[in-house]
Amino acid sequence: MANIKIDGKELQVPDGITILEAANIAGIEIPHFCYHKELSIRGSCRMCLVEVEKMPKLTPACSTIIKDGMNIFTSSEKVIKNRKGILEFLLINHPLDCPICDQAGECTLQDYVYKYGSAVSRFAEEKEHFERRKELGPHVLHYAERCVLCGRCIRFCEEISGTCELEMFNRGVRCEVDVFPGKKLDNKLSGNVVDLCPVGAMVSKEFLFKSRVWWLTRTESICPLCSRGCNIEIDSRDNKILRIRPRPNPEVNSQWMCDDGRFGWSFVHREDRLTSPLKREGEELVPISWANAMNLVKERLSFIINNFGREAVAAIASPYLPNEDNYLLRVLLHSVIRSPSIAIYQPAQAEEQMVFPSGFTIEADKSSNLVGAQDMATVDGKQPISHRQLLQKVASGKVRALYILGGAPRISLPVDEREMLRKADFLVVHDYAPSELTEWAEVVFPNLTFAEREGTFTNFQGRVQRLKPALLPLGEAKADWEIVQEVCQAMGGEMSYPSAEKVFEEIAGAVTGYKELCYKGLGTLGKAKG
Amino acid sequence: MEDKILLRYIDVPHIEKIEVYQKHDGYQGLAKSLKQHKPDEIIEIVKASGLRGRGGAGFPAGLKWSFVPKDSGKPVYLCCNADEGEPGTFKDRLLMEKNPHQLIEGIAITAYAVNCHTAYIYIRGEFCQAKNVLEQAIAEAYQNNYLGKNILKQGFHLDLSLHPGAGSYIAGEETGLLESLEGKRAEPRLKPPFPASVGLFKGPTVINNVETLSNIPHIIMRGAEWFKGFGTEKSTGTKLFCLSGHINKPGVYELPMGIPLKKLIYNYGGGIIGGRKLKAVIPGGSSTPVLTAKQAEDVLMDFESLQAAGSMLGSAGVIVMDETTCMVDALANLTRFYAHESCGQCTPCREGVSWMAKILRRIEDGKGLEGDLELLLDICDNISFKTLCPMGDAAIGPVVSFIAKFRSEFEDHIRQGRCPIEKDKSIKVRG
Repeated sequence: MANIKIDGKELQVPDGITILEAANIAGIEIPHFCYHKELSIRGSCRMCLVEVEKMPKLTPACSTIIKDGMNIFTSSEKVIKNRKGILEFLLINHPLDCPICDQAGECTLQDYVYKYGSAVSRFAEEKEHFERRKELGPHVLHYAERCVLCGRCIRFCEEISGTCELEMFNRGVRCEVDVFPGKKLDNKLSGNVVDLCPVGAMVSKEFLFKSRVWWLTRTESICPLCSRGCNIEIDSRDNKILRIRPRPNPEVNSQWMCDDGRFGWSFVHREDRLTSPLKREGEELVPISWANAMNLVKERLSFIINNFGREAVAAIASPYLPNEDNYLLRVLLHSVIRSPSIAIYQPAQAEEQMVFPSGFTIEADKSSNLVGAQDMATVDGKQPISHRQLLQKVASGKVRALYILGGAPRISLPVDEREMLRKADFLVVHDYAPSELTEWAEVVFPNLTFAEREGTFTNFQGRVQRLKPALLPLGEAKADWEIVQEVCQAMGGEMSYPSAEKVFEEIAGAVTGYKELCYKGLGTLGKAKG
Repeated sequence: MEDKILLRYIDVPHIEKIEVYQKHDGYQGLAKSLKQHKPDEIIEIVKASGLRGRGGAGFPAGLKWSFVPKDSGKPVYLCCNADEGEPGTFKDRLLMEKNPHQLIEGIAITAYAVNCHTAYIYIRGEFCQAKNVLEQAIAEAYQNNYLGKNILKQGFHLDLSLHPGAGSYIAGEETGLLESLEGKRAEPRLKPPFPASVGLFKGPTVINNVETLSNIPHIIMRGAEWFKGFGTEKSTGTKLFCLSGHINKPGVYELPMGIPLKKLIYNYGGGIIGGRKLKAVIPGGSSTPVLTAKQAEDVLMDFESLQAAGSMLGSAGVIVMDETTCMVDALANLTRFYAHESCGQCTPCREGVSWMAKILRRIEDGKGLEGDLELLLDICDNISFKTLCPMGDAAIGPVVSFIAKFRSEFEDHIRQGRCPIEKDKSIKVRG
């Protein structure tokens, strides 16, 4: 430990940390552009220079290691003048196009100029000009004139994605970040350079001119597109998602997320989303009321139980849906209907895992909650069977009624499994849009996507993380746990959970590994199960 | 006592050939080093000689070598900085073109002293002639076992490679050079760590200028005391002065440190063209603060004297300017150079220097504004000691000194809205 003094404040900090890190501990802001805690230190923006007693020159806070007895001044006259000078330098060739810049409102340069800069410009010369908007890759556009040349994007592609598409070209004021000739910024992590950019130089093609950022509603949630469960922020407006960005969680995704998750939310706004329960009439599915749908399910299930026994009713849990849904499905099967036949859907083939040099990994398993679904369906240590085994029971006539939690993203079955599925006398499916499963279903319940609901996912590490609704439910659609609960009630079950939180409390009481957890206690970063 | 060290044999025909060089005491210093001295003794001799770096900063060479850690477990590298790019400086080129073996011998001795087995000459890309000569000389040195394995059967190995630069001034900054040598953009590194501990390929690295290294064989052959017989107490040895500008006999002159500037200009340089009046002298390459004619009257050309006069010996590129020189025009030209050569990684140098270049050109074009000089000086203050590498300060040296010493000329430009100087039209300055 070292004893240091920052702006007169005495404190003890660990050895080997930088002045910037020490100032963070002391709660003192040192403005900076090129420094980023996940990237190597470049020390080039010169914004973070501070004064240290007995050092003749101002020194970069980002790279200077503290020494015992150091006396640091972060707001001395010299430091303040330097910040003002740097901001003036950064603005002289900057187009000052904040009114049409996507970054305005969350721009580091803008914020710093308000805080530390000057209101007037002394620059009377012609500004440097660059190509206005350059397409660097499928998702990223570059406005070179707004760039402060901090090099974060370049270092990201070297150190985190390891793909090295970007480099600084030319010299002096003609410096420009660009892709190498013939290359495109098209790696799976490319969207992160937009978040990393402290100004509006790297912008997202998808979000371009979509909204001023201060109109966005920000919701902390979890990405549903692979088993890593990257922590995300859903930015929405007028009940539409406009962008998704990663939230830092050192245990899960550091600061990053992949482009599949970042840009893969368009299914939420599909034109053909289901908005009411449907029942089969010949070839067609026709809307019916919730009450009628429940009556129909009750009638058909009771008929099958009476004629073929309880074991003729089975269910397939979904690794794509939260724990609460899968838990209530288990309750429906085991406690209400009292049938042992519960299975879990498992995709036929997994994609390759993608591991980046920084350790960031896109998981091969594209389901968001396989671990959780397995936990929920395991009773007395007895693991659920695979959906294929269950479908074989359907084919052999042992199982007559099948209840499937479908849902985002859609489940796809190989041809032979589809054939087996057709043998079912009665098929109930939850889904958010017409799918392979709804094609044969007798009753379809419209469910909600991740963006519209509460719940928890257990990621591949066994970390339980919370979803939060960013959007209002669509039409009459409901969260899967609510639908299953209604079915339970229709079948004579006596439960009435008012919220996903209450279901989770039940899970915490009943499922091994979840006992130490409480819904609110999961916070925004989640907790590892026991 | 002869008065030349480095250029002593410069006029010997074919001194660039190894047989001729050998006949003129060539490689005797290396032989003596390997056979009679331990590496540490060489460092001590060079320390005792008082030899200071000839690249510009004047850091004591022996001391620099002694910073190399002995037990880092990583290979030590030696880089000869032959990226001579400071405007007004053209001495290393002469040394390489005329007497390449002197440099190679200096490199071999230095490598032995710092326990280095891989050395590089990073040569400015434009120096085609020097490159060809050096390539030939290196091949000869390998053939004669002054380089390669088991040199002179003394158990010392050294590989020397010639690496042509990719054409930028900043590659002459030592860490910019290392980046470039590693195949990256020549962007100076953040210091610390210093190259002596973490340099080329993360190994301890010594970087010396061509002229510095060329002195080494002579110091070893004749001893530290002999070397100290040249020059002043703290600036020992001789120096290659590069005379250019409005002078009758421009060229490279090897003279002892501490020679009066006046003598350099009038005795050796043959005085000012057309007998005109001296106006200003930049004494040590374009980044060193300018001296007025009055200061030039009695200043001595060594590290301490020039520092006392508010300037620097730098690379000893002496740029002589007579009364037909417009100081605004000259400064605009110099600053344009620094703006063009800024690597662009750090904000103050990238933005500030280019801004100054634009203002200066505007003043010279008769569009100066009141307050421009204060603005220029404030920009200098915002660059001064705030950049990542010394280049920011190199760029403001001329601006601050030109304005301080020739302020009325700048004010005349702004007030009259034109350049009032009657220039020598035979000299072309790029705008």
